[in-house]
Amino acid sequence: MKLGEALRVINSYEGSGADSSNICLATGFMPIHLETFLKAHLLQRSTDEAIEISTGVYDDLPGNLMRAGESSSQAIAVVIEWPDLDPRLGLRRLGGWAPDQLPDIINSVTAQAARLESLIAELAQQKTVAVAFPSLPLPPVSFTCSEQAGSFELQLLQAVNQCALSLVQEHGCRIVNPQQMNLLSPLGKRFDVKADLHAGFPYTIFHASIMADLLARLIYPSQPKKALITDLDDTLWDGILGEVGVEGVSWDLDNNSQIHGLYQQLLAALAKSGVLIGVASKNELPLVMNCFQRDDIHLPKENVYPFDVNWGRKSESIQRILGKWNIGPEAVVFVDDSLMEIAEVAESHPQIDCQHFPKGDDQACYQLLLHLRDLFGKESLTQEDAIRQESLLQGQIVAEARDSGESFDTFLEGLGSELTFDWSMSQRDSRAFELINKTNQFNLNGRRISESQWRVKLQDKDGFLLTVSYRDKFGPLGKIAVLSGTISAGGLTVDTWVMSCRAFSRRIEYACLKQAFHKFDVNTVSLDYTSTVRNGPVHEFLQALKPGVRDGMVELSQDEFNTQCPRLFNSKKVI
Amino acid sequence: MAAASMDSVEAWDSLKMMTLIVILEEEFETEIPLDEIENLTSFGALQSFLSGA
Repeated sequence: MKLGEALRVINSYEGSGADSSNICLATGFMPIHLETFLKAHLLQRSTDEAIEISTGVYDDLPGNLMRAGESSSQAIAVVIEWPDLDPRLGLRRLGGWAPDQLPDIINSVTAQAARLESLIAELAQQKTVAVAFPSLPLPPVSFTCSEQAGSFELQLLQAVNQCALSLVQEHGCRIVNPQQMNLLSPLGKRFDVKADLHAGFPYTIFHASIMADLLARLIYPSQPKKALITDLDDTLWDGILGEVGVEGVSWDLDNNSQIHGLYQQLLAALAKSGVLIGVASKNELPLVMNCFQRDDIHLPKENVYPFDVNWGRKSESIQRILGKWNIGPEAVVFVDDSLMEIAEVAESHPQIDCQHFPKGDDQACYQLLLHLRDLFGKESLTQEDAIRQESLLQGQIVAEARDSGESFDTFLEGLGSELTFDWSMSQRDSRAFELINKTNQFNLNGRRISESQWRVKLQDKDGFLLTVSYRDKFGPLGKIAVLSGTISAGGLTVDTWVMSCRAFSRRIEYACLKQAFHKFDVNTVSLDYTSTVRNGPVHEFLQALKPGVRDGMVELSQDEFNTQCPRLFNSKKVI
Repeated sequence: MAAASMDSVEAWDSLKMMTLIVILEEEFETEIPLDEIENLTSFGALQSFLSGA
């Protein structure tokens, strides 16, 4: 992005009347163009909010961090450069570069890194924090030639990396990946000596834009995809199964097809990370299942559900898979080596992210693997991620039982289900936040919530948060429902209520309301309901309790609830 | 616009000047030497410089 383009982006949002988000940019250098680029990149990633950037004082990064903590900002971008750790590592102070000063510089950097770590860690308790560590080349401080990594440089990097690691592991900060920075902004193109000496702004325009883009991506990360549908022939393996047979397809070095093995390996890793993996292939199902019996396959068939293998149109296979998964197409990636199949699927399912598997081009295939990892990338993994596919299969069992005509009450009674009601308001629990922002069908009003809004909600003394976990004889589903709202003299108001579709048909929604009535001993629960394109299940549920329900506050009395509530068979635990 | 200068436009300060210089360098694909910038404090001066660039 050029500076002119950044200004055009900013001007197109000015005066839109939207609510404003305040983001702090904490640097030791003059932030000038970095501030402009950051605002533009943030605006592009958050289209329904105006953005205000507040900066600090020149040459006082620790002070700027403290001021950021006292501000009302929702998030903070911290950019640390070498002079912030020791002024002798910059060009604007003449502190000396003699060999006998190097040990003192190392000590100074180590101490300052620890100080900054402490200040940033405190900020991260209350706000989203994104940090970029030194991206500029070191000045000619040490006596070692540039081509050799001397002890001095390595000790500086060690101090910085230790700080970064601590901030990630212990304080939940988001660090700009230096490898990604290296890919996008070559080291030799970052430093503007003229601008640094004359204005205190050390970045080239090119580097400032890249830095701002990466920081914006950490502050407003993309929503990860949920599922991947893959083709098989010349995609998951090299060769056409129907032509060469089970032993004829390959995915290894000996057959020059290792890239397919790497693709299988990635899908297996994604499956373990909670991504649903499905197969859509024009093939014979028995042959496909035999191939998945091979000892050397890297994607176990247990990691795949469903297999939609037939000679019909791929778009129809995908439609069936989406139905079994019960997720929307916008959360799905489709991978196929055939551009014709991709075009056919894209026409029927324009919201699906179709990716071409460039068979025969190992370099391009590898780039695809990196891109797929990014499409599904997330900050951390939860217990629910590990059990996602299993819980999907459990949901199928329950749905079949419900539709089978047998007594559903008998089936539920035999499940041995247990609900855990957790009333704590923990900021460290990312699963509740994830559920609110990903759930579409059982979602009381479809509203999404930003990280800063979530923090405010958890600090509301009149607020409540209920997170519900479920397990039965088939195993755990993990955390599957979230209710949130406020308590007042007038009763309980629920402004947020979501439930994972994997938990449908178990009457958990009734159990949640029953628990809410009981916990607060209220006669009325008010539900802030809005109909959306996708939340039909909520409407059905509310209609069953109170016929004629419409958008707005739905006032439900305990008597009304008790009259309509079916038998519940779950045992409960309350935290 | 033609009469605009750092003296007549209140918002035209040294920081805005830095942004303006970068925009002009991007738009006109040129580099403006540091020793010229201090003379380019009006619309007219900028126009003359860029015409000759």
